[in-house]
Amino acid sequence: MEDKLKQLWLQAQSEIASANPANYEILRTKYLGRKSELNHLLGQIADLPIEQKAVAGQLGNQIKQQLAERLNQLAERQPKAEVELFDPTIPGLHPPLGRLHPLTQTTNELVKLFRGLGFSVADGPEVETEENNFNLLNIPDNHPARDAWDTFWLKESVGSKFNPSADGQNSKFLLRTHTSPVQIRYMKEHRPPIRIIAPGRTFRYEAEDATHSSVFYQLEGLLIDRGITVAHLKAVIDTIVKDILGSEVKTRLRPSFFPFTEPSFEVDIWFKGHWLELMGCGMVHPTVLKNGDIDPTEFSGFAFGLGIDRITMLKHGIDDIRLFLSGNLDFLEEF
Amino acid sequence: MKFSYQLLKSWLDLKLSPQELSDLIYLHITEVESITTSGKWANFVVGEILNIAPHPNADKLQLTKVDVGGEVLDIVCGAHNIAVGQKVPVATIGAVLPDGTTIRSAVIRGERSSGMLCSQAELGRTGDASGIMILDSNRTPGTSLSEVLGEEGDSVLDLKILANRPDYISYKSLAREITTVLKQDFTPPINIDVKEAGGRVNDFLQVTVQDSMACPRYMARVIQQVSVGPSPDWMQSVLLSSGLRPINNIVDAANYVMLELGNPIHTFDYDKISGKDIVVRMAKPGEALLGLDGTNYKLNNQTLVIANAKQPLAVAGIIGGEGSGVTDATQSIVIEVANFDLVSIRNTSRRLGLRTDASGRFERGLDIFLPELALKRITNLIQELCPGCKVIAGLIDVHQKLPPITRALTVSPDKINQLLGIEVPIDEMVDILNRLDLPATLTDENLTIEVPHYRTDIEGVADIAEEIIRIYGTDQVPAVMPKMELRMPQIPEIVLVSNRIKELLVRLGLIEIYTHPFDQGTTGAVELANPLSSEGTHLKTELTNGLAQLEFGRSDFRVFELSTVFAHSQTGLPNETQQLAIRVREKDAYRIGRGLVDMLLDELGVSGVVWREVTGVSGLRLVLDQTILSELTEHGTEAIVTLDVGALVSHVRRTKLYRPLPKYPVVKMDMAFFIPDRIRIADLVKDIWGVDPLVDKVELFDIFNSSDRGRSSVGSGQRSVAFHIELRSPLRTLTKEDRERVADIVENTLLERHKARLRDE
Repeated sequence: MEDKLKQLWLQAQSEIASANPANYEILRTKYLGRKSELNHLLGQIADLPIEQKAVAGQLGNQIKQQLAERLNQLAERQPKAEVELFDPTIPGLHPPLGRLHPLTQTTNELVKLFRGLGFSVADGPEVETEENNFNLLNIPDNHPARDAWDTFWLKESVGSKFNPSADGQNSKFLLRTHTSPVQIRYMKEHRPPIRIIAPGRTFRYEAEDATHSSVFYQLEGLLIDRGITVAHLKAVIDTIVKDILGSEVKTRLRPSFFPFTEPSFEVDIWFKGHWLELMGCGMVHPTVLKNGDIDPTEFSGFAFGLGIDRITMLKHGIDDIRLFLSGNLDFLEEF
Repeated sequence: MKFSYQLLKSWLDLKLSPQELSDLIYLHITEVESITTSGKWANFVVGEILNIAPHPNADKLQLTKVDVGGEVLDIVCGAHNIAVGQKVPVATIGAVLPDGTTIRSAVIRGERSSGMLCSQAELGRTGDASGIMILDSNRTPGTSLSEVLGEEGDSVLDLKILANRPDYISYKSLAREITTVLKQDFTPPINIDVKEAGGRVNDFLQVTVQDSMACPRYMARVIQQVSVGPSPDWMQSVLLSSGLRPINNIVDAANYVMLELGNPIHTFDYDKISGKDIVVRMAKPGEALLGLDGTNYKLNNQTLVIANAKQPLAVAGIIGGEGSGVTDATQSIVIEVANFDLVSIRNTSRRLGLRTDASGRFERGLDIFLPELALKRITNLIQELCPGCKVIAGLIDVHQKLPPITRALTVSPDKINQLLGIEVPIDEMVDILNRLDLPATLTDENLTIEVPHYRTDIEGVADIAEEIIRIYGTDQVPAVMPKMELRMPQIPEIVLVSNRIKELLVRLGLIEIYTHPFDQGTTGAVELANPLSSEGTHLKTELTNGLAQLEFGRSDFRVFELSTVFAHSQTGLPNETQQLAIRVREKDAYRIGRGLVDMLLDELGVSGVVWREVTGVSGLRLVLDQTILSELTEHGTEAIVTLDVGALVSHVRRTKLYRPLPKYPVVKMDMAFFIPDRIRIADLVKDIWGVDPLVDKVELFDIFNSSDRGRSSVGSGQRSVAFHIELRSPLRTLTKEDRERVADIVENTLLERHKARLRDE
């Protein structure tokens, strides 16, 4: 065994000494690799008689160390090719960049803007009672006004089919068609001055196309105090729109009808050379104030409902509302 | 509803162009959904020549580019009197020339032509046929040619009918609104003179209303010796502009008056009523009616019908019957002008799946006094169209006690201005209200207004304020920021926590996605009564199933959704809670999924959480005080995490507390072991921590088994694991002896408890 090891050593050291540094890898594998002769011999040492084992083991390890050292010396003689090959024009690698959904981005931006004007954030459930979603907002059953809100109703089932309403009638459950029921919920719990926004998911029972989604996002606004006027509504809306869409954007109010506001207006914006309809707003209807336990002879207020999808589409020039819920990562990575 | 510009013009002193009128209506009255041109000059517009080039294949032709307002058309032209910048009449696709030729997109000698530049002769005018007609250079491209030529042809304004103004569905109301904005006096040019010919209507007709709730008013007249034939051109033209098909002079007159005044009118062939009785009643079970549209409608005891003594003749307010309609053979007619209850009409219209011009009007709720005027007007008009006809004297008018024609409303002008935030002069208010048919007088600093019955929308000061401001102009209102008490805005905790989680995940490289909240339902799911599709019948009880089904088309991704999930509640509304779902696909996805949750909770300052193994599940549960906060599951190359954000909120700390930096240096050592496969790494880590209080950190940095290629050998049924272990004391600098002592205990402990063999290298 000792002879074999010594012979191996002699052969190896002379070959390494005269070798071309370019052949480093080949030699390293040949003499130190897993399938090298040395490895093979070292493996056999374990089977030797005890007295030979120690000597052979020591010799084997010495040879292994020596070879490693010589090979390292050989390696160092290799030209430093890497430095010369560095190509500064190599494309960059992009570490993963997380992204908030564009609707989250718009919502966050709006919340921040309204917060700056002192608006609190309120929330309410996405499944609502017919009472909160319609009746208390001055939209009685069978009234033509209801036609504007195509509704997803919940199936009646044991345990949760009805909810007793104020007048003792049963109120059916539905997916809220707008964020306006939050107005009712908040008014019942708080006294004026009230200054809130309520962003959230809303639902319409309608077929989807590039401009309609059965699931969309709204931001409700409600401000109630003594002496609140249309002039105040105008200023707040104009400020927010300019802040989010650009200071060059103009706004105007034109007459409209919503059962829960009186007077009611549509807000049009002058955006990229056209007047576009942006959102509905108006002075809170006295009946709605009363339904929220607020005295309309003492307080007045305004409310508005801004489409978060719509404003996001306008802002970024998105032409298909369905992209928002598509889970298309290429789309989401644009924002 | 569609309104004819020409008819409005004939009613009013209107100097506005259709576009100007549309702008006025838009800003003061209601939304204009479209303006279209009908009649002779439909699809003829002013074009501006932008470019002229020779035709490559024909010497006598030229290629032009013409701006027709928002669109540039390529048009091949044969005339040579044109120049760039000129305004010319353009017949666009679909235009019909006076000689009957329809303009279509065509290829002329190999070049596409999308319209035609017109000469005077081609427009049917006397004049030069050789050259294109050159228009006034001030004309705007896109303007309708009817406006330019000042010739007949009509513009149709399609207006949105606001739900609170059913009266807007008439020319009379719209004209009144327009004249109010223009400050013109208004008298509707409606002739209502009726010349009765004798006889007594009661000898011809008996009307019984059995359900006065569903039919609050029923008026009728009988006219004999009518001559049925085509209606005059002017009437047909208005009907066509309004989207109604001309039928005969009697039916057309009824429709025409419906347009003028808003109340639908039905005409019966008197002889086909078979008897003298008309009964307004609910249908009997089994009754049916063959409608004018050829459909056989099944009726039930909720369907209000107009019947003779035996059977239904019409579905009230919705559709007439084929058997009793007016035809060319008709000699005597019954005119019905009625008021039907909106709810009854809506329900029946929905049940039959039939919406007609009449039902669309009745279901908005019409003025109970309107039939009086409408009956006079239709009678007058039929007399005009059938000069030989004989109007039987007297009329039928069945109703319960009528409400007052007007009611008084007193409002304070100050209150109006206080709501608007401007000072509209009182005399201006009075003028606007008077013109709007809301006669107002000022007494003791208050306005007393006689609100006509049909203005059901007007209840108080806010409604009057709306009338004032929309006419006066919203542009008159200044923008003034409200002055309010300073208060710290509040944001619900769940919103704050959700936002923090989203921000953290984005920092960790995840993309946020939104999905539909519907799925096919699991146990405890809330079910929709009217789902849009069979794939979305329930509200999601959890987000991961939906998330797992999405195809991203990528080999690696990290995505999350944070949204509401729903579950049945025993009482009241369903339970709603915020849930987070994460899906990761990449190398070591499972470990990254777990790491994401660990980091998230650490960042949120949530402590006391424990990961537990779950039998039968390839994953872990994170438990806090008996509550399952999170579940982590492995799916091959993917990991899925769900986290109950709602349950987490109360455990989140808003502020991070400073942990004093260590005073004494750390001692690091790496230890590697061969362990049997069944040994849980978590147990090793726990036991390393347990060996000595000096242990400050234990981190797995390498793990492989016999199947991992390119790694040094490890026996089958074994894994190799390696840890960075850090030791630190808050009291002193550690020595080499400390290190060796702890290393020995670790080695012995793991060997003893887990048969972990130290890899000595």
